[in-house]
Amino acid sequence: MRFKYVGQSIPRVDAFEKVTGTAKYVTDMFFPGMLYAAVLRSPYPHAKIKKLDVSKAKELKGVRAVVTAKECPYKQGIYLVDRPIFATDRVRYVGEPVAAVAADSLDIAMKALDLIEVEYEPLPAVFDPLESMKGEILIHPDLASYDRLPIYNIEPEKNVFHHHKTRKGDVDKVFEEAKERDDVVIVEGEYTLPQIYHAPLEPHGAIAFYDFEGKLTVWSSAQSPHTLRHLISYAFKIPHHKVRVIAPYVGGGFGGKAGINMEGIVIALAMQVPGKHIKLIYSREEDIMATVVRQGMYAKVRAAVTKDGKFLAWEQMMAFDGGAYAEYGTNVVRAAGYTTPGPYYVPNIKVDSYGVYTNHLVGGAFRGFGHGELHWAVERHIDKIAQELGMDPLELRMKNLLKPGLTNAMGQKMHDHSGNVEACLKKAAELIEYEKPSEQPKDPKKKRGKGIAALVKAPAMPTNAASSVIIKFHEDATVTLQVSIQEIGQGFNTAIAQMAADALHIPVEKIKVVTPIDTDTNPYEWQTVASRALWTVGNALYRAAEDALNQIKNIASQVLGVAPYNLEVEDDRVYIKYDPETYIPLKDIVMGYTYPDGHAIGGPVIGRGSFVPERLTNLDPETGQGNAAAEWTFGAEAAEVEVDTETGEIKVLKLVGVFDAGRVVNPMLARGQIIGGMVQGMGPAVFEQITYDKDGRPLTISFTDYKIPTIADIPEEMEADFVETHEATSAFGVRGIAEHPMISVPPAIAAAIYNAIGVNINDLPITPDKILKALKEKGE
Amino acid sequence: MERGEYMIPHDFSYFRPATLDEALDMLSEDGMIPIMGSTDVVVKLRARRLKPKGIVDLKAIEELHNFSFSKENGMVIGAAVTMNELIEDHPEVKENYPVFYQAIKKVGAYQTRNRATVAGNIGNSSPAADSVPPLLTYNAKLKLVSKEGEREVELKDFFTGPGKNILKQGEIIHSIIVPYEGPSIGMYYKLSRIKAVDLSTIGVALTVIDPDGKRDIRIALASVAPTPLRVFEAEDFIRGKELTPEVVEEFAKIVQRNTSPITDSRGTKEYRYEMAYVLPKKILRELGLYKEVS
Repeated sequence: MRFKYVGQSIPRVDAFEKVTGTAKYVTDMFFPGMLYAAVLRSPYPHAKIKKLDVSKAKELKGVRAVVTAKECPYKQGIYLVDRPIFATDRVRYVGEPVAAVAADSLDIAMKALDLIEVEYEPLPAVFDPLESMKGEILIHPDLASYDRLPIYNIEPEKNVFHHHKTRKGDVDKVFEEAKERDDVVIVEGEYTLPQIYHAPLEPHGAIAFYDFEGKLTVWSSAQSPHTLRHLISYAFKIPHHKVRVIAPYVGGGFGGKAGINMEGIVIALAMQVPGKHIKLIYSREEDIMATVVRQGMYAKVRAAVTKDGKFLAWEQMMAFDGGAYAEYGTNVVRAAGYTTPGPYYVPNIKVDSYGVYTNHLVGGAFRGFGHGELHWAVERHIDKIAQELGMDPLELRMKNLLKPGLTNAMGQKMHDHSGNVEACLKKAAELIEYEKPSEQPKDPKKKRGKGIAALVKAPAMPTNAASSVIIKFHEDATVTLQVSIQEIGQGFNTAIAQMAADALHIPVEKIKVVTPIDTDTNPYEWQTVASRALWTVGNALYRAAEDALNQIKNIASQVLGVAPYNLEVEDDRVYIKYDPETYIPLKDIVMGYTYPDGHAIGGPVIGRGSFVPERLTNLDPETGQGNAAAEWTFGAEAAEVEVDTETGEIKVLKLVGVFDAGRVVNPMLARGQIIGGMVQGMGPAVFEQITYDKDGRPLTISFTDYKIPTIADIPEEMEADFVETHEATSAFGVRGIAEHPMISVPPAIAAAIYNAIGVNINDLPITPDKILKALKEKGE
Repeated sequence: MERGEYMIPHDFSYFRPATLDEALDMLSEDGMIPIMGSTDVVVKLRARRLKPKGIVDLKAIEELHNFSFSKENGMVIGAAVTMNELIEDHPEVKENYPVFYQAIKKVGAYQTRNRATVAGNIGNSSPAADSVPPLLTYNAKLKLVSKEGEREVELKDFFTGPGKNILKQGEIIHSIIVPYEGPSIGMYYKLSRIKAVDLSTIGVALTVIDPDGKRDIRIALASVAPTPLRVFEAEDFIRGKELTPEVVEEFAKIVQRNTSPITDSRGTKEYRYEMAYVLPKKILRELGLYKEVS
């Protein structure tokens, strides 16, 4: 393929719509006679519902429907069906929906909530995953009876919703032998991080409409319109063709709007009042409390390393704080499990990754999907090993990289086209001037330092996660592209138009990506997740373009009397390769060709292409060996920080991110994605966290208390760069970089802090009080 | 916003009287609350933590917009004067009350300060109020008015607990009176999780009145006690003393001893306690008033 548009920084195709405010989001949509929903939520982290009486609420003037688990006894979940739409006999987290009201106004709906009588009997609750694994308090006593995909391994008596195992080589033997060897050290460490919130600009919202023939339409701020349709169909037992999901623009998702979320609440209400639209837009408080958050994690690592820095064995146990329901989070635990220990080659690996129920907020998909968590442990631990060996941490990393010819934790062999982590690390080191120690400020209380970390992530998806594309030519030879990846701010609609322009050999201005996504008319797409969109849709697009071009050439071949392979499409025409001056305008072909005497041949050109990942397999449940990853994106990130040793304040001076993108489709957008991701990684590194009071009530449920970086907090200097190792599994040579920039910012910052003041903080976020405590322990 | 969707899910009446007398009449009724910029009130209304019968918006009352400064009478800030007006329109603030100026610049975001008033910040009575510690160091007073009449109180006597104060039903803050006691230098050191749009984890206002003459050091803190806290004991200790490392050390320890911080989502009790000791020293050092021996 020749690349004319791919590789160019063309402006976003949705820029005008968005800056002028004409882009429509769910909250902008209004329908005549629309009703408004409000939700009654649990004030307890764990309690029995002893009594639930909605009769008074139903009597309030203006109330049109009240639903509870009685009317809507359904559960939902993409991988593990464990999350009830409304709590049934018990509540498992603060914020869990107990009842919902639809009324003529939001005001009336909220007044009705006050009239619902609920009696709770508080139950003992558990908030720590390790504590929970003791199984003294069972959060889901019936877990074994829940529907789930068979690849998930539950341990109901330990509150474990998935236990991933990696067993590569023989870790135990290496540790045993290491005792006798004086050239090997064993290094152990513990690493933790708390739950964090996605904080999309647009909170979750949905509108549902159920007609009198039993067809359901849902407008949702969804990352995954088709999977949402599938999960609605499953939960509410409505056939797919009678469920229509329309997904207008989404104002940021970061994983939180993947799968199914709060849609069930409005659907349940809509089914009570057919013919009425029901709207529910979450408040920020509800968005934090009652959608999903990133899971917390405790990790314990043990590594055997030769004194000259070769990793021999890596053992890592992770216990994820999955919150009250697992649902999507099961696969976070699995992906973190099979990717450990990241971009490094270790011959002997043992990983146990546990997803554990607690009575915290519900954990789920979040940009990075377990990789921010596993890399926090791995990268911090490598720094610890380097400190014990007295070796430079970058040098230690360089000695153990996962290079072509070597196998990862799943036993998959790396190829030359699999990406180049070494080049990423080198470039990141250059950009941060790693070899040059930080210039120290005049104020002796302030210290500066630099740190570096690497990463790898493959799309975490089912083996058959499919994509499809429809290309429709119009009378004037312009094109609409139907594809069901959601534009969530990442710039997909721009990038895919560039790729389509190159695949079809027509100008990018002639291509329009259809919005909003409508499952009744758009072709199937699994989900807008996993940093896979350009890769997977690119492959489907390639086939669709080929299909369309073949149709054009076949018609032109009849008209011009030459073989189709002697024809070429370019811009506005199809011409004969060996006689370019002989051509037919595309517009005379794409609706079929009409001869001067009026008779016509061919017909409208519609290109169709679909794709499923090739050669993926499930993993062996006992060893974790198999082909779960289709392609890998490697990267490296570096940070420079300044620490005030009196107050513990941390100022991030500079962040650098370098990723092997295969081929960069739009450098400007890719750079934006990297900078945005690094900022999103910086928040949880130094201040972001969901905190709870001692009774398990979340404290940080508004932006007053849950803080994300503002322009005043981000580093003055941020650099994004790329390595481009052609990806052989992609028709365009591309691979994803969407989630990756967030992943290794925390360990890079932690390493920079160590470089500045010589203390290791292994528990995120690295707050000023932790810095001071560590300095005190160190005796400063 | 369309029919049926309200930001505040609660019925209440809204009044915007043009005169103070009218306003005080309305406020004398039970369930009525006054608002200015409503940057705190609307948050509470949305969260249903406040369900007033009615709201009396005082912004239309001309006399509450007054601002004046003279060395004789000090600075008088009408209750409706916004923080950005103080920062941008009245250079006297920066010139004569630099610590107060620094503190109000750290309240919320620019947009917040377009609406937020100092009277509102005081009336909200949060222990974290940024404008209060510097005003305490400048010996600010409040003029309170109600239908029954008016009274003047010391700002230090105004607060009674988190969110609590001595205002009676129907009584409002009319203006803030800040005496001018001479030139001053100082610093408002605010620690917060993020650098803007955040409440203080701890705020320390250290003001030096007449730095080249009598050098009167005053200190007040936010977010370390149930109310904003001025530490007279530390001021008494340091008054007239040479700022040796030992004196500064003891000064900082007295400040710390007077605090009683708690742990919340913004910081731990231990960290706040530690900072109540660290920051007074740090400010004195950064002001160049003493050097640490290393």
